[in-house]
Amino acid sequence: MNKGPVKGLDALKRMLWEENPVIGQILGICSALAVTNLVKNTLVMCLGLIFTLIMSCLTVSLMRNVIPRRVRMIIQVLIIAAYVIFIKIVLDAFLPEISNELGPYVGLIITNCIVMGRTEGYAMANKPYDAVLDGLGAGIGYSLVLLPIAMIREPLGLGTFFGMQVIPTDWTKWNMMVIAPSGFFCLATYIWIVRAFKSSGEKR
Amino acid sequence: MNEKIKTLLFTIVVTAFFTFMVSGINSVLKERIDLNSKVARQKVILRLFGLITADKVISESDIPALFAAETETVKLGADSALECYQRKNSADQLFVFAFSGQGFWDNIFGFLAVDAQNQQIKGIEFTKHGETPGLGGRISEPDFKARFKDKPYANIRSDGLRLRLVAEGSATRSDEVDGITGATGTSSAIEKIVNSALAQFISLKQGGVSN
Repeated sequence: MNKGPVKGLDALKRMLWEENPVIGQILGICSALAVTNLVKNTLVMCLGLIFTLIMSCLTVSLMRNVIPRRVRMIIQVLIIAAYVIFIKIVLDAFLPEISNELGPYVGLIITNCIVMGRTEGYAMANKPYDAVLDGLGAGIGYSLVLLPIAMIREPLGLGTFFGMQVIPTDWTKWNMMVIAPSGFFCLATYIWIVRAFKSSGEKR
Repeated sequence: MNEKIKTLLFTIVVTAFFTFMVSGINSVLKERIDLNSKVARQKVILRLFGLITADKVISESDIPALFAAETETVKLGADSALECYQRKNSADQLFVFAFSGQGFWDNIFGFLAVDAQNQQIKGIEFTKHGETPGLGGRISEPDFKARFKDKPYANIRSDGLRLRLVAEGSATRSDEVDGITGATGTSSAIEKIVNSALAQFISLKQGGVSN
């Protein structure tokens, strides 16, 4: 995958499609399955991840020349954890309802392999400007997968979209769509379709 | 050696810095977070009194005022620490009281609403639990909570319980409540907690109400 250093906006763009963390690298799957039954929760989760990614990539990149190689992973986890706790505190203070619904998932941003992957794989070796764009790209790439899945799961499962009723109430709700297994189906189908597109593009 | 000490010092300094930042933000916002959790508790109590329903939504900021205007704490027994509430200036014997107990994983906290006149449960809400999401965690779903509504608690069954949680779908008697399939541990924990909470309330209530 490494075709030499990728800089600036290219670092952002490749994360959206070519090396999309969820589709291309199958990272961050756990949260993709867990939170996508409500569009609102998904949006908050995506914003949380984008924030964590940008800030962690920036911090790690700024410190990249002083972090001793031996402890770099510990320092990365520490930095990511600090930002995640920050998000959790802010959500508790200003959006308690959403914080309650998201439950442990906010804390679990830290275990989202995308963040660790980007800090270790890119931010440790690149300038802050590129690292931030790379982090932003990875975050948006993640959201581009999660949001469409949530937009399918919520209306079919609960008949609502962003909490508003969009499907007539006599519609039989697909309870399956609300629970985690449907996340597997939707995600798998999504990845299948996208990869089919990708490979047909490559052949040409 | 020098390298090792530098690494160690670096780690300590960075850790201290981020710990300091996080605790700083936490202490700045702590008051707000505490207020939120207080409002969340008051909301649960108001819901059990029927003052907040699906059709009667009240904004977060109005909850403390409504709570202060409509409810009052009741002291049951002489030196009881039981957190118990009643409607202000109301003749009906509707009480909402706190309960807690060991669940399947973590402690379960919540409130029960009872009609002391007719000796019936009027509602149950859980404020905190750590049960398995999707299995035991279903106790916080409206469907499960509704199973307790109007259950009489005056009589003690032959097995020594006031209410028994039975296999899902098999409750036939009025003193039986459907449990949750796949969460037997949670169901029996809830059975234990609810029964002991009711027993505590009844014994304190018999001691007479003194405001």
